[in-house]
Amino acid sequence: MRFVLVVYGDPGAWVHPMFLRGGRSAADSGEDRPPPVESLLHELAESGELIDATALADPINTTTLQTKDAADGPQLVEGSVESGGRYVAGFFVVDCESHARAVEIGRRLPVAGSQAVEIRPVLGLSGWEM
Amino acid sequence: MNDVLAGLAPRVLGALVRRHGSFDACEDAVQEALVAAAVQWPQEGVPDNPVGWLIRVATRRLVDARRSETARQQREVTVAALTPADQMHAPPADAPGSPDDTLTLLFLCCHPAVSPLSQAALTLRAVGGLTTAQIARAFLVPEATVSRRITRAKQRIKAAGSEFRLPPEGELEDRLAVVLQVLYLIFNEGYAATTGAELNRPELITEAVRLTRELHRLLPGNGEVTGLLALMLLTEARRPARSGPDGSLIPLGEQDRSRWNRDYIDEGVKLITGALSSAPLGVYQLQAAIAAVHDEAARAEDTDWPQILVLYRLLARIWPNPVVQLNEAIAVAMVHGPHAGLAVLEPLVDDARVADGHRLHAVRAHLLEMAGEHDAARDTYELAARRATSLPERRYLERRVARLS
Repeated sequence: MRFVLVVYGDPGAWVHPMFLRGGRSAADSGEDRPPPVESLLHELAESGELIDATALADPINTTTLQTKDAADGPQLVEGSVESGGRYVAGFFVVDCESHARAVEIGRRLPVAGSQAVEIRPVLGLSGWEM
Repeated sequence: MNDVLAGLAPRVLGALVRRHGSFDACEDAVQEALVAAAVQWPQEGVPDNPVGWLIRVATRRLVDARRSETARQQREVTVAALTPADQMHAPPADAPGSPDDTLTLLFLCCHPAVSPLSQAALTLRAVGGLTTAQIARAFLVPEATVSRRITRAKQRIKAAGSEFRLPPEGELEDRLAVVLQVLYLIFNEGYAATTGAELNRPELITEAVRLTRELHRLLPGNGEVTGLLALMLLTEARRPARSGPDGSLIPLGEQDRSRWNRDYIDEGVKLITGALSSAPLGVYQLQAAIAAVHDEAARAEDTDWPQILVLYRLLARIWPNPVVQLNEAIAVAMVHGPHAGLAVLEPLVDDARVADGHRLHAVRAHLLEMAGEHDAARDTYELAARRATSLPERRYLERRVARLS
């Protein structure tokens, strides 16, 4: 079963949520061992569960196409749809055995200690007759 | 060409492992030899002795791999232990394969210490002779993911201390159950209705049926092996009718039965009839028997639902699980009316294993529709549609909502 773990960030946080070290930044901890997210990624790659991991750049770089008036078509504006609130900081795509396993992976993300991590099943393109 | 190669893979691998041990390294070497053959044979023609050719090339790869490994580790060179490739004795092409090797390999690849997806990947490569790239395309995952799954599987098998021989008598039945599970998983991955871009997936069905057929040839007296082969054939027989040109799902009751594959149905029915009369009952046989009752009905309304209900009740007794209960509820509704079916569903509403998915709601909606409770049916179809994690299933359920609106 395929899931996307959506990692949220809050605008006040300085460190990118995807690279948190158990809730603290790499600079705080002063250690050179790889941050836990990297060892987790390594472990998921080894187990054949990791499909993709993408960190998104700071939301300051976001531009948004928005349609206010259908006649004008979509207009490009600076910033995100949601202003001032939480933003999507990145996502992991995993192919694992169960929802429970996806939750377990989510729990082990350092960011889960401080930010929300959404677990979303991917909409598959194949299905069973009913 | 692929068919020729696929049949040879387990023979070549078996010969190599017998000779050199190390399933892990031999499997890699055979995979490389198969890839080399897939490139060379179409250009240069199939060699007179394909098995001998593959064994020679694979042995050479194995020697090379061990050489670089030993060089890397700066250990004493151990290649002398390997027979030079040219002296390898290969059976002539027309020699019967060693059927035991295929069986031993299946047991090894479907080792209980390995996760199901890795078991499937390793089985398809080591026994099916598929390339890593083909497996990746079929499972819709990156090639690197499949490689990792295979590497991991081989590490686990090695760590579990498994050797290249059949499991001991006392473990055979449990181990065979895992093999059947893996083959059924491969089949199901391929069978889930395909849409547009996923044309590669039928490869999995072909492979699952081929491997199960081979297993049936090796263990003709085993009722569950026969049952699984029959179940695959009887299910696959309906594939041409179960999706529309746009990829939409067509439910069993609305399929154009003239498009069902008669040959598969005849073979499946014959297999399951034989198994049921001679072997102890099992879950695959019962599921095959149910599929056979459906397939033998010329029209949906001719379906022998009382017979299906009896079979589902037997199945629920030896394999109690909520999915079987959902199907039993449908059969109850067809025999005793929708309200009786809804009563069977009632206890499942609190069962987290099904209540969170879409199936319970889809079945409930169907039975509510049968009962004439259209508003409740529409709301329940809508809930089922939102719960579905497959696009064709969601679209099917949305059409039911639209029909009742």
